[in-house]
Amino acid sequence: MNELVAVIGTGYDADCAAQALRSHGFRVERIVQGPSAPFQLSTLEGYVGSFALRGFCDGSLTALSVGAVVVATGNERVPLTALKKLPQHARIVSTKQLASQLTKPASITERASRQRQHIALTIDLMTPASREATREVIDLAGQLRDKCKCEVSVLYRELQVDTDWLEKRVRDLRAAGVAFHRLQAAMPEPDAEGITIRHADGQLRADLLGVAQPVRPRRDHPALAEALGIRVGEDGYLQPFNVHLYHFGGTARKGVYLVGRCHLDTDDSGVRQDAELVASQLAVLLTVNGTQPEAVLAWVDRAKCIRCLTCIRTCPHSAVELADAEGVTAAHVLEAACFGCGMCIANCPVQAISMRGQAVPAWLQEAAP
Amino acid sequence: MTSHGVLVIGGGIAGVSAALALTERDVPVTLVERDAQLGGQASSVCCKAVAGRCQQCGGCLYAGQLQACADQTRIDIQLTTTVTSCNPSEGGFRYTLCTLDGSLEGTASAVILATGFDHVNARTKGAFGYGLLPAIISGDELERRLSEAGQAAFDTDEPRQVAFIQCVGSRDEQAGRGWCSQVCCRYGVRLARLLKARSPNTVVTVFRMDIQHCGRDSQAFDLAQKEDITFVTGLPAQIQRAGAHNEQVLLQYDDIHAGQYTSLLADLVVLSTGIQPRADAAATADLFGLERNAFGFMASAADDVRTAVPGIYLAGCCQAPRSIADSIAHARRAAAACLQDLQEQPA
Ligand SMILES: Cc1cc2nc3c(=O)[nH]c(=O)nc-3n(C[C@H](O)[C@H](O)[C@H](O)COP(=O)(O)OP(=O)(O)OC[C@H]3O[C@@H](n4cnc5c(N)ncnc54)[C@H](O)[C@@H]3O)c2cc1C
Ligand code: SF4
Ligand code: SF4
Ligand code: SF4
Ligand code: SF4
Repeated sequence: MNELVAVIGTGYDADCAAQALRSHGFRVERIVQGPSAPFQLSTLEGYVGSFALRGFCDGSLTALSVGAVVVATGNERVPLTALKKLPQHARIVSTKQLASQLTKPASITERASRQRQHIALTIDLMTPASREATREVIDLAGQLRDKCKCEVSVLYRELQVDTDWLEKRVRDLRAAGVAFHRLQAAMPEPDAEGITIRHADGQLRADLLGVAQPVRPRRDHPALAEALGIRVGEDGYLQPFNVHLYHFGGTARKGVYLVGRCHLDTDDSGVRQDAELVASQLAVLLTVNGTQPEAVLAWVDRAKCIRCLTCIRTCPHSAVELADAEGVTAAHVLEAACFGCGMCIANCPVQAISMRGQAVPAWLQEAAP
Repeated sequence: MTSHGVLVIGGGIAGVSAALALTERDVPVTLVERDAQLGGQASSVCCKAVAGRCQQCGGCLYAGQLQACADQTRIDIQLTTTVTSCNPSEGGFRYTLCTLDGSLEGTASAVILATGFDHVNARTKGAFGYGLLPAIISGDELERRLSEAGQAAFDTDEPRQVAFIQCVGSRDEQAGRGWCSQVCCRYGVRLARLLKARSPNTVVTVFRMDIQHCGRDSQAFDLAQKEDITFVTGLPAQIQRAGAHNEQVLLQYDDIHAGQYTSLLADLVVLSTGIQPRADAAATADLFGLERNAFGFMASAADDVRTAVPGIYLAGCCQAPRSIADSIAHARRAAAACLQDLQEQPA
């Protein structure tokens, strides 16, 4: 059993993943992504317990043997300058910027505090709300109110308060004098003296507007997913949403796990919990069974397949895809992803799929010491 | 019966998942369930697949876990059993169980509490007339009837107006219920789609404060909007009986987007009820020496699973409202925390 786990990513999410894995007794190999990274990942071969992560290091092909792969690449925040409809104005800043200035002397927040200014914060001005942005705004509203004694208003289209007792925190903030208003379609209108914002209860004038930057999936996900043999959802996050996998950090490929904001909408504490969950699952997967390829796998008789796509739709592990070979397009089972559950066999209208015993594949013999 | 394993209390999806996670690591488990069978509330969650297309509601997650638990001979399952005492002793706990055959004593090195939740009683929101009019049912009732009688239970060819009212008994600080139940937007929107898809002459309106569509499972909500399910911001202020035999109800509400007071005549009203602490949560907390939070759920440390009493952990909805999948994930984390602490403990 290989107790080395590759963690892909650089930020907070990857740090959490590495720390949780170490606390469960794993050794961790950090892999940085990006054009200037020392190791350029190209493919992941093998099964859980004995993966070979191949890539280029200083121009030459190298392979790293790992037991499992954890992807923790995080998400991206859209800069305000990329929001086309949002007026660009000195009075409109990101909530991140406001939060980072809170403790600094001679900052905009310090001035706002001195002059008892009115600061408005928006959660979901242009794109659907996210938990990350919601918590950022609610935390900031509390700090501006308590530390800076500013007048604070929070504007939202939908308040996302389902987790972490946020409903209560919103009530407490309201009781402490923070105003909450539902946004209207109109954009904020800045002028020399302040900003006018229309909302469902009328309109307000603020001195400063903090806009939470929308979250979006990283744009290098498709390339990374391709290298790892996993999939990207229609929404751009890793692994198409599947209730059987999502909450457990799983992907359709056994032994490849996702931690944090590369697949979830959550904040720092949610990332830590996700990392803990994945590390504990890997501890079972890599120590108890699970490390062997399935004894039997589905196999498609390419001559019989009528390309109805039924198996591709029904496979719970996204293990089937269409593949061209020898001039024929037919369903093809990805060995590394197939769990041998038999769903595809039960549903194929022309009995083109059967179970096949699994011989140790060539690359695995190669990887053995 | 004495065991140095872990005592898991509550055989709902959270308790079962915690027990399985511990067994995977070769820790002996005693699982105590008050009812005559395992499964808890998740067993009455229906499948919400629309025309064979899964809506990812998570309802079917529990069956697999339950089967795995039943197959697992290493879990000592005690049904129709409750815990009558549980006290710290010699680095673990000494407990007494009350079973049908009398009382049983045992020891455990740790305890995982997975006692779950109660359905919100829709009557707590008196203004909505639950229990008085047949056209008004609660969300848990709809779930249960669809799961017992099958998806066709509410089919009709007749034109029909169905209204969902969200946040019934939740997000209501005046009533001391200032929490969001997390599951009712998700099941409400999915059930709305299901009823509409099965009976095309059905018109569905969802009254809500804010739809909780965060996280990645917002697809059902996006689809609902495309399928002409109307979302009204704000809850009806008043409900009146209507129709010759009181078979309908008249909902009056303030349409903030239209800026006027409007009404809707509905044939079926679903009150989307949520999750509240169990009625006996105070007694359970006392028995184990635990605190409860402002709303009556079991109080946890910042990691959501540890408690103020070393060696006692929380799993599932006894700690906070969560879905089935989240309950399984939470229970797995509770089991992992428990194992980690046991390993660090000097033997
Ligand atoms: C109306 C409604 C619809 C829902 N729909 C969905 C959905 O579509 N999808 C989804 O994912 N989730 C849904 N949920 C949420 C789901 O029901 C819960 O996530 C899940 O049931 C929580 O499981 P649990 O084990 O924490 O609690 P429970 O299911 O309540 O289990 C607790 C168990 O502990 C036992 N117990 C309690 N006290 C004791 C004691 N002192 N001693 C011994 N045993 C005890 C109880 O008998 C029970 O069996 C819905 C919830 C509601 C209210
Ligand atoms: S056997 Fe199961 S996992 Fe393998 S391809 Fe068929 S459906 Fe997918
Ligand atoms: S279900 Fe059978 S016929 Fe259809 S694509 Fe799959 S293998 Fe081919
Ligand atoms: S997730 Fe829900 S809708 Fe999908 S199959 Fe399971 S119970 Fe049915
Ligand atoms: S999940 Fe939706 S319906 Fe339930 S309490 Fe929260 S906002 Fe209200």
